[in-house]
Order: sequence, then structure tokens, then C-alpha cells
Amino acid sequence: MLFELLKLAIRTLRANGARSVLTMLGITIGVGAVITLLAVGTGVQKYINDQFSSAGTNLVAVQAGRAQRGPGGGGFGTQAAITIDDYRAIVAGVTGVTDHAADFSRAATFVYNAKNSEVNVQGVTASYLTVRNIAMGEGRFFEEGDEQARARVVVLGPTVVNDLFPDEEPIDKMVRLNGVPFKVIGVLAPRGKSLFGDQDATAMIPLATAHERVFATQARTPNGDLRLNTIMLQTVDEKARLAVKQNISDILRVRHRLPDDEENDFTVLTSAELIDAFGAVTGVLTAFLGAIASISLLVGGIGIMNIMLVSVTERTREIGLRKAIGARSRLVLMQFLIEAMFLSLLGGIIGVIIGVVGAKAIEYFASFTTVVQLPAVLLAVGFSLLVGLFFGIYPARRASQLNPIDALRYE
Amino acid sequence: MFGNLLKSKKPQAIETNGLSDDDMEPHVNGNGVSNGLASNASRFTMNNGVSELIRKPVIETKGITKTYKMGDEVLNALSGVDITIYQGDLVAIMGPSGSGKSTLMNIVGCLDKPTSGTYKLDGVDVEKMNDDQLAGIRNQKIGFVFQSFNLLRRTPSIENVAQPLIYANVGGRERSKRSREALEMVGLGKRLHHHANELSGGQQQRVAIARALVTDPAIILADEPTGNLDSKTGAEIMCLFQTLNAQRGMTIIFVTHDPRIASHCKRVIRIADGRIIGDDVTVDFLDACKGDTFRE
Ligand SMILES: Nc1ncnc2c1ncn2[C@@H]1O[C@H](COP(=O)(O)OP(=O)(O)OP(=O)(O)O)[C@@H](O)[C@H]1O
Ligand SMILES: [Mg+2]
Repeated sequence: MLFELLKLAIRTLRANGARSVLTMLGITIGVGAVITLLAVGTGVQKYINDQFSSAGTNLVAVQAGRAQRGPGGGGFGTQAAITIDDYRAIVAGVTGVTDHAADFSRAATFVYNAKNSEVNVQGVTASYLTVRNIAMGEGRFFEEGDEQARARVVVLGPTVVNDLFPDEEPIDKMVRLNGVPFKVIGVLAPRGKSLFGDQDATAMIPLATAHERVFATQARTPNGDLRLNTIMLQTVDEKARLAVKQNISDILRVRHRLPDDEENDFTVLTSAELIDAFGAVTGVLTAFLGAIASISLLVGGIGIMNIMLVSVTERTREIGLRKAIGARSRLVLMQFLIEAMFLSLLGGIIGVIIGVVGAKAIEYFASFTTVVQLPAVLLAVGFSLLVGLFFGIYPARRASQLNPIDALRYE
Repeated sequence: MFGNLLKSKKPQAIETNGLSDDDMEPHVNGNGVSNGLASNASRFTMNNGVSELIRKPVIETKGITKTYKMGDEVLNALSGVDITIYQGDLVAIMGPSGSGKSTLMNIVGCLDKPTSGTYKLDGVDVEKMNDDQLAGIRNQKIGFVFQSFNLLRRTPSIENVAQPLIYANVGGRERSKRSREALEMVGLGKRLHHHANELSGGQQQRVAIARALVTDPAIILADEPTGNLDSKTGAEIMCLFQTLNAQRGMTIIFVTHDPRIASHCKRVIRIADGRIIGDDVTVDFLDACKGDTFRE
């Protein structure tokens, strides 16, 4: 019987082709939007996870200033700084750390072959590559010895190489950074874009060289201390993270002479915390997008109800006839319910297809990974069935409760 | 009313073929079956009181009333109708417009409920049944034919005919077999896949009749089945009813305004103002399949 009713529903919907399609459109757009937006949201989340886990999850980073409400929360305090002496004190005083690195980065004028460009130059310790989990492309990275010697050697990111050495081998070429001559000794492996920009648009030089030779005028605090941008520590394991974080805090508060009632003038972040913080942000974002998309599903459902009500009115005589030839009320109810559910289910399935295509299109045009998850698909399809059921019940009940005589008399 | 009727002990099963065609004209031009007696002495009508002993009643109503309340006004569409209809009857119901014919048919067809009175169908009290049981009765025991056909448009005739069988839970193959047979019976064996709106009025009505027959009901009820058709097509329908009545023993009750149509029935019930005012049995009713005027 159910099968008969389904066949009947299909025939009726086919007979009213244009109207059925328009009715379905509401659900299709709703489900399509849910699928695409969830795919984008999940893609963002996955992307962030990948970003941070590539940097290693056991990373603790110290930066100057007060982070306001998590990452990207804007404004770091200006007056306070972290210095190379802070770095030394931390390295000396903190246990549970396997490796550490620091950097001091500024923009510099980069000249090669009369070609001039502005490049982010990172003065980093020799350990930086290992701590950040960055791979070399060709050539070599600098070593402790280079740093002690304040060697004028530079390792370039792939973007810089592409820009300045389009068809040349960069290794062993001489370049100028802020007018200081440097020799290119290596090229980094490509890392791609991050949330904060192109990670490959960089040039790395030894920290001491940056401090003393390239950025000598900007490198010192008013007290004459050498500034750092970031201190990074690799903890032995995940568990050591919190202890290390606390330890760093204690050391820096003493060194910065902060009274008890004053907040830190530095920020200690762990990569896990960053992942969590970003995860929370993107989670909210995903939920928000999902909610907006759900509203369109709701609107689609109301559209179905509307059309079903029109259909019930229009087919009053048919309903009367069906009852006259022996259809029980329950069967009439089921007939209309099945019609509504079939309509919304079909709309939902088409919506899933459109949603997946939409997600792939975003991936293709915005070169941004989207992730369509099976649960999201099942949820959307299930939800559209529910929409059909929910919004179909009222019109179907109206149909089933019609009195056959009145229905047959209806003009 | 019944006073002018001859009583006859002749059984009702009669040879319609025995009638000559020229008998038809004066009869048809008369004011109805019961008046045929006055114009032609060879006609016999009888009170059905005799046949009560012989045949089994399928429809028995006692004191049926139907009242419609329209604001302050109360309208008595039926005010105390007692009728008994026997198995194998072929009954025409006649009466002026608004006299309650459709109301009565709907009650007899279990589509509507009387305000008061009792109705027994096949010996079962209909008032005691719930909506689902009534739906079952409409499906199994009664075939209803409407004046306006009420077919599903854009649906092949065979599908139209098959609808009651769906509700009777008959499987797909059996369904199409029986639907085809019903359509062949009404002479539409070559129109199985025509959509309802691609058929003429007479053909549509025959599809509707096939739909009423397909469950092999005991009773066929038709409310002005020929009302929308010309007289020739009306005769075709009438012929079909006579054949079903004779060959299958179906009880057929229909409403008509056309005395010529009524003259082809075994029995004519007259109704006015919601009351039965006449109930005559015609012995020598005409054969609709033979008459000149009604010839296909
Ligand atoms: N649903 C209703 N509401 C109010 N009054 C009704 C309703 N149905 C029928 N009536 C009234 O009941 C009376 C009988 O109606 P019915 O339809 O039975 O007449 P009829 O004999 O079939 O007439 P016709 O030959 O014109 O079809 C009429 O006066 C009609 O107005
Ligand atoms: Mg009527």
C-alpha cells in the first residue's frame, strides 16, 4: 500500500511538474546552503588544525604585550618588550623543554640585480627550523657558528626566490638587505599560505646578524636591550605544557618587575590553546552559518506547507472521490504526507548534490579546502524529510478530515 | 397513487426482446412509466409487494430524515423515507429538482448519514458503523457513479478504474486484469490508456461505470449518470445498466429526470419534497440496447 501511495505521489508531482520543482527549490536551496556552509566551516577548522599541528602541538610561544581575547584579538601592548635576556633567563630557568628558538623580524629593503623589493626579514636562531618544523628546499641553513660570527648569510623563502630569481639559481648569489651585502646559502621548502599571510615570503638571517647589522637602529629598547618578537619552546610532551607556561610567566613577571595586581605585559601561548581558540571561533562561525542555512530550510518547509494546502484545496474533489470509492481517512492522510515528504526528500537530495558541487566550486575558485562530511549530508537529508513530515501533516490532516459529500460538491 | 396500478403475479424476470420497436414511441412520450397503463393496455405494472416474498432486500430504510440547518432556517431535505430495494432491482428515482434525490442517494451510498431513521444495508445497521467501516462498505459493496464522472484527469482510464482496487488491497497484476475486464465490459477495451480528459463524455461516464463495477459490488448507485449526456449516449449507458442487471444480477439504482431513461427500468420511485410519492414496478420495461432512438 505504501508503495502504491508513493507511486501515486510521484504521478501527482509529475503532473504538476513546474509547481513541484518550485516547491522543492526552497528545500533544495536550504539543504544546499547547509551543506556548502558546513563544508566551508569544517574546511576552515581542518585547515587551522593542520596549520598548528604542522608547527608541532608541543609548542609554547612567548610574545610581547597582552593578547586580547585570544589569537588575532588585535592590539598587543606597545611599551613592554621581550628581550634576548628574557630569552636567556627562560632557557636557563625552565625545565621540561627539549628545544627552543627566538626570532626578531622586520621588513627590509631587498636588492638584487637592481631589483628592489620589500621583504619580511626574520632574524632567527639556528634552532628555528627544527622548532618550527620547517624543511629546507636546497642549500643549507645557517648554524650556531654563523650566528656567533654574525655571518651575512641568508636563506630565502620560495616566494622571494620566485620574485627575484625567476630563472636563476639563487644559491651563492649576493644580495643586499637594507644595504648590507648577504650571500644566499639556501632556499626553504614551500609551506603555502597561512592565516597570517604567505609563509614563503620570507628571508631568514641569523638573529645576531639581524640585531647588529641589519636592524641595528630598531633592535634595542630604550634601555638598550635587544628585542625579540617571539620566543618558542618545544616541551618534552603535551603534559609539560602548562607547567612550562606557568614557569615562564613566573620568570618574566619577576624580570619585568610586575606588581601582583598587574596583568602580564607579555603573552604565553601554547599551540594547543591556539587550536582550541581558533576551533571555538570557527565552531561558532560554522554554527552561525548553519543556523542561517537552517532558516532557509524552514522557509522551504513553509513553502511546502503552502503548496500542499493549495493542493488539498485544489484536489478537494479528488479527495472526495477517493473517500467515496473507499479510501480510509488514514490513507488519504498518508497520501498527502508521502507527497510532502517525497517532495522535500527529493529537494533535499538535489540540495545535497548542489551543496557538494558548491563546496567543490569554492575549493576550485578560492583554492581553499572544503570538507563535506557524511554526518552533515545525512543530517541535511534527514532534516528535509522531517521538514516534509512536519509541514505536510497539517495539510494532510485537512485533506483526510474532509467529508466526502462536501468534498465532492466542492467547485 | 398506487390505486391505478394493476396487480400482477407475474414474476419480474421478463423477456425484453419480446417488445417491438413501435411500442416505444407512445410509451416514451407518456409522462412516465406508471402512466403507460392508461395509454396502452398491454403494459403491466405492479406493486412490488409480491416480489418481497421472493427476493432478498439489500437496502431497507425506515423513517429516514435529513435536516440541514441554514442559520435560523431548518430545511428538511428528506422527511421520512421508507424504501426497500431488492437484490436484482433496476430502479429509477425521479422527482423535481431539490426534492431530495441526491440526498437520498448519498445516504444509501453511505457517503452521508441521515439525521434520523434507520438504514440497513444487506441486513447490517449502517448507523452503527464507524468511518473506516463505511469506507470499507463503499469500497466493497457499493459502486457509485456521479453525474460529473469525477475521474482523475491526466490519468489513463485503466488507472482510473483501478483506484478502488488499490483501497481494496488488490495486487498490481490482478488489479490491471480486473480493470481491463471492467473496461471491456463497458465497451472501452480499446481505450485503456487514454487519459480521462481525452475521452468523450459518454466514454468518460463509461469509465466511471467501469470504476464502479471493478470491485464487483452488489449495488450500483448512479446520481444522474446521464444528466450530462445526449439521449443517444444516455441510452448506451442505460443499455449497459440493463446488461449488468440482467447478466450479473447487480442491483442498480439511479436518478434521472428523463422519462425515456426511466422507461427502461423495472421500477420507478418518485420523490417530491423529501417524501416518496410513488413506487411503481413496470413489467414490460423497454430494452435500451434495442430501441431505435437508443440504437448505438
Ligand atoms: N449541504 C447542504 N446544505 C444545505 N442544504 C442542502 C445541502 N444539500 C442539499 N441541500 C438541500 O436539500 C434539498 C435536497 O437537495 P438534493 O440535492 O437532494 O436535491 P435533488 O433532488 O438531488 O435535486 P436535483 O435534481 O436538482 O439534483 C435541496 O433543497 C437542497 O438545497
Ligand atoms: Mg441531485
